[in-house]
Amino acid sequence: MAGMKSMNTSAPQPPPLPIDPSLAAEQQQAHQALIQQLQGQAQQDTASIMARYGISLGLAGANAGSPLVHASYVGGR
Amino acid sequence: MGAVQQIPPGSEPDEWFLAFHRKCDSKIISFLSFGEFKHVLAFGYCPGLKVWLVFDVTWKKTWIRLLSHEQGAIEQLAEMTRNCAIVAAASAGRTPPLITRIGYFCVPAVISLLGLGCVAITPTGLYRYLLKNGGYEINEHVSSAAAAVAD
Repeated sequence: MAGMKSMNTSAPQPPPLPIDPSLAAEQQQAHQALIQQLQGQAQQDTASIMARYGISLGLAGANAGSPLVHASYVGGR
Repeated sequence: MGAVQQIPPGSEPDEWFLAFHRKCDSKIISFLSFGEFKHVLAFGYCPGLKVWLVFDVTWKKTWIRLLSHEQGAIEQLAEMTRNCAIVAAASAGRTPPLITRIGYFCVPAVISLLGLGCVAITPTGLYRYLLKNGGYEINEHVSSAAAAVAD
């Protein structure tokens, strides 16, 4: 128990290291690549589901701000 | 302390991506996780090491994976998170509330990882908290109904 009492559960945090601009730029690029991949995949998945199950199901619960939803609504009318 | 200060910058993510799954393997967990989402995992980029770190606390075990950015990590992550809602959120650096220390499952683990001050106990609760506190969904094209059908 003595060990438990001396255990430090909230260790002091080291001061934040200065941000390296090259690392920040690389992180930005990696994040952008990921976001493009995920958004492209999401668009493909939604489009294939719409083609397979119908537009109404694909639209159910979708975000109203999505350009895909707008395009589908226009196409559906 | 000295050892901590020698950790090079960029060796841990400062922004995380949380993948909210609409299904999970365990029927019990699926039942207990009220709401749309049943599981959450986190991944982030370490620019100093050029790897993506994946942190996934499941009922079976805790997975920590490193995926090389230069060897197809993006495609692997996209496949791992297919039909998930992906929310981007920065590390908050706060001490999580005491109640989140009760139990060890995906939600309190992710709260601790990001240093969030929220008391969510379900993935859906965490999802809502993040969207109200600076997080943003990056793949909102997939509707919940469509994703459910795809699963």
